[in-house]
Amino acid sequence: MEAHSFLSKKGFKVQSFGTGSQVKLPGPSPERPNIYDFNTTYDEMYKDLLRKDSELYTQNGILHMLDRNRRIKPRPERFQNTREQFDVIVSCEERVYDQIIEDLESREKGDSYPTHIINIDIQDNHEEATIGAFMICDLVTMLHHSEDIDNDVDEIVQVFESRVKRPILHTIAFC
Amino acid sequence: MAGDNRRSTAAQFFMDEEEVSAEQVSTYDRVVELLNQASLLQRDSMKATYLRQVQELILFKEPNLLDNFLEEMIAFQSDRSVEVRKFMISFIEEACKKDPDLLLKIMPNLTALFQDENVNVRKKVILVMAGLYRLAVQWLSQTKAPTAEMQHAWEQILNLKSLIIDLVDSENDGIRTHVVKFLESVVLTLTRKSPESEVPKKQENDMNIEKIPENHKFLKVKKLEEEGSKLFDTLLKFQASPHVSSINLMTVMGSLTTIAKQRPVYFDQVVQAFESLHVNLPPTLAKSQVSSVRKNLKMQMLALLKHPCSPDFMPQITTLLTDLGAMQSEVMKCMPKAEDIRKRKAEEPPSTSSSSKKAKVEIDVDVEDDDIGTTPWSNKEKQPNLTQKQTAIDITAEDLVNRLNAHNVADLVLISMVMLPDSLPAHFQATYTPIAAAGTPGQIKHLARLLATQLTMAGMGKGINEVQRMAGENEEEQISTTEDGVASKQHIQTLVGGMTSTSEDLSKKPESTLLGQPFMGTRKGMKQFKLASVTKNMDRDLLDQMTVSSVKRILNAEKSALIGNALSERTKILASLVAQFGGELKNLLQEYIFEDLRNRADIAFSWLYQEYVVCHGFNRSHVGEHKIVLASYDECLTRLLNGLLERSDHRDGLFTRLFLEAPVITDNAVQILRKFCQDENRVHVGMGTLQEMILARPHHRPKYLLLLLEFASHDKLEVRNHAIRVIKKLYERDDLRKSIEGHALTYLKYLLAPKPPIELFSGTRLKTEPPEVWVEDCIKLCLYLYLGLLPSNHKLIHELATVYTATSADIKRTILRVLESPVRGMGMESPELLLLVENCPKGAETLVTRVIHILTDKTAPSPELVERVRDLYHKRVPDVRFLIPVLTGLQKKEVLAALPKLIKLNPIVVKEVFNRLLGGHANSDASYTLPLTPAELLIALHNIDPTKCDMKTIIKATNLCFSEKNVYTQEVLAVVMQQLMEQNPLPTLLMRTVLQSLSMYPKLIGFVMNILQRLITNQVWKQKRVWEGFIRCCQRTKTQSFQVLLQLPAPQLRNVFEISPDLREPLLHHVQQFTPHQRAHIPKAIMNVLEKDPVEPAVTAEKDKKEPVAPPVAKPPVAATDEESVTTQVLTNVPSPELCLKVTTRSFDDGRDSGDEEPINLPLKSAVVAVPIATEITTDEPIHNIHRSARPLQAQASRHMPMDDDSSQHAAEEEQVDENDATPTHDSDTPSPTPVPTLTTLTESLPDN
Repeated sequence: MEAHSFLSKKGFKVQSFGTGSQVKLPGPSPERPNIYDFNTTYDEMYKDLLRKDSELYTQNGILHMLDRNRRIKPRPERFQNTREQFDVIVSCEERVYDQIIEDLESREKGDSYPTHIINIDIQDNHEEATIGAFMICDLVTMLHHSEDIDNDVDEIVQVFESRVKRPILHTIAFC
Repeated sequence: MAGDNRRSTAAQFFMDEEEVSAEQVSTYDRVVELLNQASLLQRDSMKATYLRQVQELILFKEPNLLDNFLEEMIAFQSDRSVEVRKFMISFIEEACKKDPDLLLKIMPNLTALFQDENVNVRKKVILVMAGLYRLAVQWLSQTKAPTAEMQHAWEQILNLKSLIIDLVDSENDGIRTHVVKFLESVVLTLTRKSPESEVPKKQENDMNIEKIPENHKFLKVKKLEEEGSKLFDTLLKFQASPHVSSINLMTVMGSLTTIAKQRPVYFDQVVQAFESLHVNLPPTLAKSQVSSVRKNLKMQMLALLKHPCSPDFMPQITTLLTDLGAMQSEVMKCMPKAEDIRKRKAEEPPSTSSSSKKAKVEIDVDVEDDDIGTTPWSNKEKQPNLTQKQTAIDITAEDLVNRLNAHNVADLVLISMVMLPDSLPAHFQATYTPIAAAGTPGQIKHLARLLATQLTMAGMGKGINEVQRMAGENEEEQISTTEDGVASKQHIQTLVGGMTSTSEDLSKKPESTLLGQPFMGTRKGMKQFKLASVTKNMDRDLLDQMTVSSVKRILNAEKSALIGNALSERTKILASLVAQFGGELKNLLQEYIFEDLRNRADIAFSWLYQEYVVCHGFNRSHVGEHKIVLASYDECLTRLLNGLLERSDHRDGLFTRLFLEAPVITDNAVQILRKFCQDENRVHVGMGTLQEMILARPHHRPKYLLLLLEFASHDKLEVRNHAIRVIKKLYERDDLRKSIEGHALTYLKYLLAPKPPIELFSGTRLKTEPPEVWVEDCIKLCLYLYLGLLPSNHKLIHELATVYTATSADIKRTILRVLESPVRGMGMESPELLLLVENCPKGAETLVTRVIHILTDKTAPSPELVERVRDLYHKRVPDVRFLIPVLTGLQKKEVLAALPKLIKLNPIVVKEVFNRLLGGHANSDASYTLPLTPAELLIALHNIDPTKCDMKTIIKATNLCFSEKNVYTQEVLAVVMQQLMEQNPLPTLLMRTVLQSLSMYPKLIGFVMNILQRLITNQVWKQKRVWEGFIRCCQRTKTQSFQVLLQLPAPQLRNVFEISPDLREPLLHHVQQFTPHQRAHIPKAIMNVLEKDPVEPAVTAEKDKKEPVAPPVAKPPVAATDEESVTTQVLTNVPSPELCLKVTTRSFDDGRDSGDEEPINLPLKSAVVAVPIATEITTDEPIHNIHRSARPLQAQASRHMPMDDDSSQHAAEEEQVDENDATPTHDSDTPSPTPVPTLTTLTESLPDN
């Protein structure tokens, strides 16, 4: 979402998704996360948490995050439920990358629109998310400047990888 | 981003649409309005939006409008906006789906769009064509009566299709990706379904070849099916291409999986392809790309696992998945349900074991041969193929399992260690997973299978052989063009992959070979094959820079090349590059070569040859006339040679090799060789090289030979000696003999020139101005080579003689000086030398003498030589000096004849003569007999006719004899005296010799007395000179000689007293002491003589007065201080010390002839003993002369001992010859002005003459 927000501000056409079956937010302890389904709006989550322990969730920034999110879009979306086509999909965790590919492969082959899926590992915390947003923006800007993304993506990913010094996964899917 | 989503737009549109319909505006008007707006709009995105609305309207809402607006819509295909053009393509697709008949009209437009300059448009066309192709096949197959237009459209489609397929080698990664997708679709269309086929969800996509009627007018099922399998092979090949990019790779993997799922016929090939891909990932992939690819591979494998066909390939798939790091749970989750499998098995015909299946297929094929087109085609072509391919790996794997024992595996590992690269390659690092179950049967099987895969890929192993054999058997049955395709493809692939080894040896672990291959290819796909089309003219500097750095990389890749077994290729590449581009590269390569000369010599040679080839234009395509310019080649050769020249060690012989193996030796190279040869440390190598070159390069032999010959007169000793040694070796060859000889003689003849010719200083030694006159060094320069050759070819000596006669004194002297060792090398037996002696040219006498001297210096002369010398002496040049060297070889008679002449020579020479004659010369070598015994020699001297030789000379000669104390022992002297005494007349010098002997050997006194007595009987007084000597002897041997004196007849005794008055008194005294009895024996006359003083009484009185002062008896002599006791004995008889002293002093006076006593110094240590031999003034001239020459003789005698030394002898000889350079005996016109003191000795005649 951080990246979504950041890219939107830069003028990109962005959508953000989750790939799990539910939306999980940190709870009072790791064993007791707050779980919502995809129909819950950010606003409802915000209010729920505010009610549960406003101090804790202000402290760990969750409320702030939800506040940001609810101003971007009403509720979280699940990737597996969308049928839209994308030029580039960026994931921030290898597990998610796998899920995306699995989903795309299992989709019924339609118009065969090529989509590049790129994974860059970003830990799920606020600092990393901020850095990650910059990195993703960087990558996306590079891709955007390419006239022929299909041809250049390999090179760009390589350059990007050497720049951020993190392992990058990249593949193409037709959907 | 830029690409808007159509569906969402469409959704929006539907919302709009509702409003529109609500407003009841006619669709037609709406379309017109939208089209107008679109054509007027400037903003591309809006334009596309409007057109999209039009599409919705005319395709879905009111399809009957499509025809009306088609033209207008199509007009947008040439819009300048990429977005619009892309949209138009999808519009065409949608339109055709709606109404396939449109294909007839639209194909040209699509073809035109395919030529679009924008790559994204072209990609769109490719994507769309995938669907349209399927559509077209479907559409055509459903048509009952195909028209000509349809066929035309079909041809256009085929045309476009082949254009697209050609792009599989495109340089654009994206286009390749799209082509792969296109191929996937085409393959699916052109192959048959099978019961296990997964059916696409969209029905429209489910097109396959089975739906085409067998007898279709232009869709030939068989051909299409063949094409399908061919394209499938194209995909396999694409996946296996060594430099495929990661995106392409993942795309093609996805496509293959799709094909495998929908067309299980190919399931085996796909699994197999994935297996080999897994172990042969393209080396160009970066680390993260490897992980992506592996992730993708894992996903594809899981997808395949879900397919009902997977149980047949379960082991392969699960192993592969395990290798890829899949969890057991993941794998289990994807396994097809057990009941599914059972169900499927049940569906299958009962005989499904692979062999029976194959048999069945073969039967089918047979049937098909007879009856094309009527038998259903199910699996016909594929199935045998499958069996074969399976078995190739299977057989090899089975074969390997048993062989993977601990020992073999250890060997494999050890061998592989050598090939390992320095650092872990990215893909290895990514793929490596620790082996958990090492050594278990399962793991061994797995390993065997991995190896088998590699071996099969490389075309090795048991399996592939069997399969090939089978394929051979099956050939008649017309099986599988596909198989061939696959096989050949695999083969090519492995070659590119660097598996150059062809041995079937297990020892080459495939992985290592793979890892070791050089990472030099371009990173992306097939680009390298299209080099020409993508090259642009590069900036010159950049080009140079890149060339240099690429060569550097190749240079640094030595290890990789070694591992990759591509050293020879690397060498060739380097050589070609450097030869072609030159410049900085030459420096680079040179440095590289000299870093490790021993191992990189091959590169050096390769480079050199390449330069040569380039210079000659052998590899130029046009054979037009061009001048051969060897400049570049020359530079290369010179660089290499200079490099070697600067290096310190020359053990590797590369220098020589370079000269011998270079295609051409340039002048510069010769200069380098010249330099090389002049270096003392390398002259050995240099000369060796030169020699080899002369032998091995006959074409330029004269040039090299000349160089070598020049070195023969080099001023450095080392160089010269080496050169001459080499020349001598070459001289043994007939073909070179003549030129070498010619050169030597030319140089020799330089000596005839008035001053050193300039040629002599050509080449090497122009450091200083050539001297104006012949100095010794110059003279020698001309001679070295010649003298070196002399021992090899004796005939040359005659040339020397010729030159010698004509040259100046200085040169002659030098020649004589250097002659020794060559002449000695020739030896005495040389017929040519003998000939020279025989013919001795006028003016070359000194030369010949010198030669003879050298020859006889150490050994006795041979009879032949003696013969020649004798001839020469007798017939042509009566110079006795010739005889000296061969004296020992002459006969006694001859020696005797020559003796007078010999002793007249220079004292030094005479001494040499005596040395020879007495054999002191022969180093106690008793092997030959002297012509004369020492005794005979001395006798001969005594018997020399005084008319032939003056006494003085003879005395000198005898003195020489006496000085040889070793030879002339007292026995020898006794023999001599004995023999002389028996002669009649007695030799003049007899008594002198007796005296001399006595002084040397006082023990001879008895013998001498004996002789004196005999002489009396021989009436010694008849010969005046001898008589004088006799008296003197008696005087010397006083007391002992009294007995002898008393035996003289009275007149003679009186005569004695007249000559030597001082004898009388002692004798008288002696007699008076006799017993009366004894006295009675003395004749009266004698007594009278004794008692009567023949001299005046005054004198007698005077003597009488003196007598008491000097008692005659036993006075200890002054000279007795001499340590020799023997001398004491002699000296006891000396009359008086005063006299003795006086005589001694006088003897050292410069000999005045005025004195009545002529002292003579004996050439002995005891020279103080003065023995006057002539007391009378009557003594004639020679006696004075004797005195005069006595001093020098003495001096020489004292010098005698050291003179025995060889060297001083030679010096003496040299001196002698030098001083006689123009032999006066013949050359009357030679002025002989040299005031050398000894010059006269040779020609000396007696001063009186």
